[in-house]
Amino acid sequence: MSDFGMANSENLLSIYTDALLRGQTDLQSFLQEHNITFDSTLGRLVRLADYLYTMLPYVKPSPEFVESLYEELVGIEVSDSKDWFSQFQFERQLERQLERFRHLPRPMQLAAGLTITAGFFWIASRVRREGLLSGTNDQDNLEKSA
Amino acid sequence: MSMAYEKIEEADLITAAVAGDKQAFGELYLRYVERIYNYCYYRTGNTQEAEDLTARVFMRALSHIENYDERGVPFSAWLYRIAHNLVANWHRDNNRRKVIPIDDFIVSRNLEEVPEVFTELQEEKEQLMDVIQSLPEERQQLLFLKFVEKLSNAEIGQIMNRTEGAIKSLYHRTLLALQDEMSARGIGPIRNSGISRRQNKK
Repeated sequence: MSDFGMANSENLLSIYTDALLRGQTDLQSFLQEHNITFDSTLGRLVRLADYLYTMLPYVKPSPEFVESLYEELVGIEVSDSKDWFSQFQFERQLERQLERFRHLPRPMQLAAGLTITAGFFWIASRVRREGLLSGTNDQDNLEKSA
Repeated sequence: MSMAYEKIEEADLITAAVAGDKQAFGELYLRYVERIYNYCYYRTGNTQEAEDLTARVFMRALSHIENYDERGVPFSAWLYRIAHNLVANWHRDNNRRKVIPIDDFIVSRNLEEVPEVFTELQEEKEQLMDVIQSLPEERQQLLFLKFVEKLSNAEIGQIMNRTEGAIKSLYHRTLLALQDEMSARGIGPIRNSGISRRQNKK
């Protein structure tokens, strides 16, 4: 490793391999660009990476196997999965909103909290008042009919 | 196979699977089955064993999905770790059967359409697999994750529980060891140049 140094050699080998796996390089131009001789230690390692890339192709399992294992894993149909999923998505959305709230600055969190609490009390008082009003109306109607 | 689940993000599928939705797990399976199969295939060199191990990986994943922690390792890394443990057990149980033939190696390059070239390449692949399988287990794992799964050093690091820099060094050392062994056996690209590290040392 005298020609490049260990760390540099490791770096160049990784750079070449990553580019190779992305299909973005070729051996000759890489060797030339980095002034690496064909038979230097690094040159041989780069060629070996090239060789492994050619010799180790991606394999595919048979579709029958994939299908049968899927059936086995999923098993019987999950009933009402649609309902479950819409509920799940709603909860997920709620979680995201809460997460966003958690990341707000403290004063904004406080302001939002106060607004929500005030809103809650306002709605509660309205419901109560309307309930009372309808209650008095009912009583009036009863008295009139009597 | 469910169409609705195809469009759902992985994180959501995982949450659903953890909550017991088998179809969500089924979708995760469909996304990863080929990669796990490849891993098992190259680590055993046998289609039937690869299918059996792949099935066991997903069965185990399904039965332990509630223990999966999203914030720990990515789902793919979690699956690879299960596969790694099962393959290691498989090797321990099959210790005596040392030579593993690569059956029906899937061919993908044009050269292999010529029968003589096909046979020659088939032999060369078997020799290469033999050399790879003589390497320590972590080095075999690294080579398959890199060349078959085409993962980056960072991704491999997550699976093997190492830093990116450690993987970079291990990769370099692995290729040096592989090159030495291949030169000694007279196979691979270095054979043609007639120069090997061992010859240089002499």
